[in-house]
Amino acid sequence: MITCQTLFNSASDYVESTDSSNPVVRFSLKQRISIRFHLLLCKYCRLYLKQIRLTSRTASALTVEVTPTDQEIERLVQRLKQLDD
Amino acid sequence: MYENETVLIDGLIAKRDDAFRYAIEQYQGSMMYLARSFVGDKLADEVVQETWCSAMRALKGFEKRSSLKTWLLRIVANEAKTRLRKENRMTSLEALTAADPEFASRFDDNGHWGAHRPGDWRADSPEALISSEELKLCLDLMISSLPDLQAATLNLREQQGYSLAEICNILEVSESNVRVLLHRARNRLYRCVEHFQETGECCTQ
Ligand SMILES: [Zn+2]
Repeated sequence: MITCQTLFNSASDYVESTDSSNPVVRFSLKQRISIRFHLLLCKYCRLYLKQIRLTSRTASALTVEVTPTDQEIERLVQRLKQLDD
Repeated sequence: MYENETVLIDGLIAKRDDAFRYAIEQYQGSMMYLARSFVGDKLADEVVQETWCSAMRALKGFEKRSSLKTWLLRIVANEAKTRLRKENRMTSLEALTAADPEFASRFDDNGHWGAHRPGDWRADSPEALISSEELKLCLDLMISSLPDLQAATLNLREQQGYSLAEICNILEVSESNVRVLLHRARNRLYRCVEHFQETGECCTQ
C-alpha cells in the first residue's frame, strides 16, 4: 500500500494523467490501482486530490487577456522593417 | 493567406508589412504573457522586443521542427533566462524542484498525514473560490511572485494550455523537471488557498 506522502508526490502527475485529453504522464496499471485503492481508504488524500485539482483550475480561471494595442503593433512593425540582416 | 505558416514565414523573410502585422497580432499576446510571468512586468516588454528582433534575424534558419509560435516562445524563454542570469536573479533548477519542507513536515514517520492535514474548503469551484475578491487578489499576487521557471511553467500549462511536451520544448527543461515545477507551483497556490480558508488572510501578508 502506498503512503499519503507518496500519493502527495504524484498528485500533480495524477491530475495530468486523468484530466488531460492527451496525457504525457502515464501511470502503469499497477500504479493506478494502488492510487485508486489508497484513495478509497483515505479521505484526506481524497480531499487533497480534489483540492489540488481545484487549485489547478483556479489558476486557469485567473488567466488574463494579453493583447497588444494597435499602436504597439505599428511601432513593432516599423522596428522589424528596419532591421538589418 | 498567412494562416499558412510557410507563406507567413516567406512574408516575414521578405519583410512585408502585412506579414509582420499578422504575426504580431497572432503571437505577441502569448509571448508577452509568458515574458511577464518569467521576468515580471517591467522587463517583459524589452524581452519580447528583443525576441522579435533576434527571431527575425534567425528566421531563415528556422527548421520548422515546431510551430512558429512554439519557436518564438522558446526564444522568449531564452531571452528571459539570459536577462535574469545577467542580473543574477535566475533561481537554480535544483532550488525550484527541491521538496517543499513545509509539506514534508506534514507527514508522520509512516508517511501519513499528520496534524496539519487537508480540511474542508468552503468552495468547490474556481468561480466560488475567487468570488472572494480578497482571495483573488491574493492568488494573483502569489502567481506573480512565483520564481521564474515555476511561474513560466504554471503560465504555459494552466493559463495558456500548452502540453507538458510543448513546455519542455519551450523552456528547454526535461519532462520530469517540468512535472516537478508544475507540482511545486500548484502546491504553493494550494497553500495560499488553504491558508486563506483557515485564517481568512492572504498567505503573503
Ligand atoms: Zn492518504
